[in-house]
Amino acid sequence: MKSLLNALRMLLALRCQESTRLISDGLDRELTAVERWSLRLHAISCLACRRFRRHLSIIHSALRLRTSREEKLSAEARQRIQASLRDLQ
Amino acid sequence: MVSHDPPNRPSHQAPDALGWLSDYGDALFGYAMSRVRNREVAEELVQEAFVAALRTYQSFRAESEVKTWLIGILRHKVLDHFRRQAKQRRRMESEEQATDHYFSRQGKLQHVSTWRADRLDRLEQREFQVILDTCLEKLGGMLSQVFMLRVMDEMESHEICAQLEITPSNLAVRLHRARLGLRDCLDRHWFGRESV
Repeated sequence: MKSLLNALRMLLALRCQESTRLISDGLDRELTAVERWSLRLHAISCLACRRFRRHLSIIHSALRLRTSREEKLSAEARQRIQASLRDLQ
Repeated sequence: MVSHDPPNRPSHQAPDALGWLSDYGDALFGYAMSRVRNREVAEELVQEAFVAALRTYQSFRAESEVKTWLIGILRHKVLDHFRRQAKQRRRMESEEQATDHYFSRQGKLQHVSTWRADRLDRLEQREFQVILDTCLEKLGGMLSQVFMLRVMDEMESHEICAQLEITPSNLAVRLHRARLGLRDCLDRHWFGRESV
């Protein structure tokens, strides 16, 4: 009974705090049907959450573009590492 | 075809650790820097990774590429580093960051501007990378670490939980906060609510 009421409340009165949490969760796990519908209903009237979702997907792809940086090991670091490898060999 | 030993079968050769260093040193350092954003720490992790690679050479399988194998070892070193930091933090601070300030009194998510195309087109530029780094830094270790593991390394949630010894709900809370924080910071500093 309690969970039914809770599901109803989610569907009818999701707040942005919960909505953003579910949007975030949805990127990491499969959402339940109630969760998905709650989000959809909330999004109809909430521009901010619609944008939030779009912004997150932009951020995710921006980060995936650069899982590594263009960097150069300094000569000193290189020498240090060389020395420690020579010690081992 | 007579089956000869494959040409690069490493178990028949002495490991060429110095060769790995000159071929992949920069790439490993670049990976480490993108995760820890600190030269000294990154250099140390790269060194640990090369040393570990030389020690565990027997476990290297010829099918995988040397670079992939080395990055995999480095990734473990980065995780170890994150874990050490997390332990220290647990002792030092409780770190409860509220998310209230992202929402109005009525509970509406606020400061969500339109992200304009002229800014979106420049996400690969150095200027954006600097701001992205600053924003990741501002999130603090706890949040930026889980976020990087999840998004940059595409690790599964259960794996992150196991590695960092946290619960799934704790991870979800952190990822939510990290996303709120990072989005807000980029909205502010890159997409122009406020100039830098």
